[in-house]
Amino acid sequence: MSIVLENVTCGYKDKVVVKDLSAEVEAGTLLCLLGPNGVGKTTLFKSILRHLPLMSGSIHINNRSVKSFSYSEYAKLIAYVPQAHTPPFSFKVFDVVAMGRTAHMGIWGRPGKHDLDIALHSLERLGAEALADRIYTQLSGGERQMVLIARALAQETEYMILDEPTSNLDFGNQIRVLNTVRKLAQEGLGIIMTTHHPNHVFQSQGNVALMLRNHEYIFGTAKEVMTKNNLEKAYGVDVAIIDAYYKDHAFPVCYPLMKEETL
Amino acid sequence: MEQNSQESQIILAREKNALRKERILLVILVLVLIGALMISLGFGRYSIPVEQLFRIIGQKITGKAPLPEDKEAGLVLFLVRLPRLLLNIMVGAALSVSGASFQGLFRNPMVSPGILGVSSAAGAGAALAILLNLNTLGVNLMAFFFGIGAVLLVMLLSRLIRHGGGALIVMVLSGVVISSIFRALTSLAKYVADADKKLPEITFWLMGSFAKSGNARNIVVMGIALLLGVVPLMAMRRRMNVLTFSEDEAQSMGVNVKRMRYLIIISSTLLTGTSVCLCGTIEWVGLIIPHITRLMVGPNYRILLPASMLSGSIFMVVVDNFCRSIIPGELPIGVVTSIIGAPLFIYMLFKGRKELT
Repeated sequence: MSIVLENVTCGYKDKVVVKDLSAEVEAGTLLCLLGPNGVGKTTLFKSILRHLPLMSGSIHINNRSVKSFSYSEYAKLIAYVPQAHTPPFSFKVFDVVAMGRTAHMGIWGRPGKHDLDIALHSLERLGAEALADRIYTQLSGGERQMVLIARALAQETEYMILDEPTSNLDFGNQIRVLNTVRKLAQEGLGIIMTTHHPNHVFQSQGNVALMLRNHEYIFGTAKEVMTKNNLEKAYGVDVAIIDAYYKDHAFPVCYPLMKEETL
Repeated sequence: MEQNSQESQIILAREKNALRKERILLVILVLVLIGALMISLGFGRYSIPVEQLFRIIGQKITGKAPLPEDKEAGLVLFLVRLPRLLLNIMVGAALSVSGASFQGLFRNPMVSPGILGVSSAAGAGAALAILLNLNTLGVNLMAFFFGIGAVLLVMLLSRLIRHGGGALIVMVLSGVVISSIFRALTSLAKYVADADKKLPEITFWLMGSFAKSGNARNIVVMGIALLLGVVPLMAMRRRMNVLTFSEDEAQSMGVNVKRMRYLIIISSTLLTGTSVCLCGTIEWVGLIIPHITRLMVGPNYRILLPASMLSGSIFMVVVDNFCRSIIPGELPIGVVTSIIGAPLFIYMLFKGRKELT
């Protein structure tokens, strides 16, 4: 049970953005996509979600080519959590989460009691059931992100893709969302997420695909990939990786250096 | 856990309650519509008192021969007033349902059903037909095919232009361009039209009116268009909710976005095109009725779509009453909807500031 990316090349019309990328995510594990702006994280996502066709290479989910799934089959297999945004209409949170059931419902798309139960359970799994009656557009960024994750959970998929789930969130909400994502992986979901925070890669305890600008990709565990050397190559700045201690427990922290700090 | 399940019971019960309330609201709207229809049947420059109204309807239903003093009123009722009111109801519903659907598709509450050019092109078609001395049927057909043709042109253009994502914005821009071309054609037609006969006719048509359109043929035509357009839109209404987030999200939730986009455009264009070709361009209804309804019932298309249809029908019936009775001639309904609609819209913007952000 896994998503396997094999020599994936994708991009727009005549511009290749991602070239020959290979990676793998098993159910119950988490893969972080890390890399500088414009390196193709979003493009790769769009290709996995089939919004963009592959130029070459292949993506298989559970040993089946992604091309072979219908829209609704695919939506039952893999869920997408976009960055928290503001839609033009002020839906109730519970309605938003129930929308995750779309693929499971018939042509009339009418949710039954079973669907409502699942929508509610998804909110409860994230401890967000108190939001059910609130208006989605009036929530804070962190709350909105939780609602979108709940909506993805309501899809009852094996895999979940999250696009920078911690961006635009405050200090506390970032770690709350990260905790949630890791918990979901531990509960059996296969997760791919992009992030701009190398430390989140350490903290999520998963695998990482580090994307460099020259179409070079380094795939492995956080410990293997997140070295001073690789990060400096990826971002073009000096990086220090420090062992931090908290209650006799050591963990790595990554820190980009300012010019005067390198002296 | 015990507390949790209790809380879920409360939330689920509230959901059920909300659904029941929506159903009650729809019933109320239907009753209001029937009420408006009954009042309007008697209303007008040839006034028919209520008891006479019921007597005539009773005679018609039971098949009894009408009393001599009811003959004239019966003719007014069944040949003039009822067809016109039925057309009011259908056109009001058609414009509102397509406006609401377009607002969801384009994710913008400021979109009207004419955004892709159907109304302005239909206007140009009608103006041209009047210039060419065509009869009413000719005017209707020209308006219809110009309207549909313009939207097809917009879809073709945006297919040719678009690259990558922004398909919708390209579509809107193409709509603006095509509309302006057809509006220029309309102005040209007005400029060269004979100022005594044809120019007033064109102008009157462009302002919209039910004065000449309430007849059996038009009711059948509009009824068929309404059926063909409304059934797919109503069937898709819960999926429209998903579409208002973004097309990428909708697709990842299992919606066939492309097919849905075309279905919405085709159905709405059929509805608007038929309305406009029979009754002229009636502004504002397709924009403000979904808006008012949204303030009333919230943004969920599950209820928004049927409620918009009913509100649109009620609005059209009420407004057309003014048009046919306020002055001895006829007021063009497009003018009245704008005069009533614009202040109403501003009032709503004040009232609904929070909902709009």
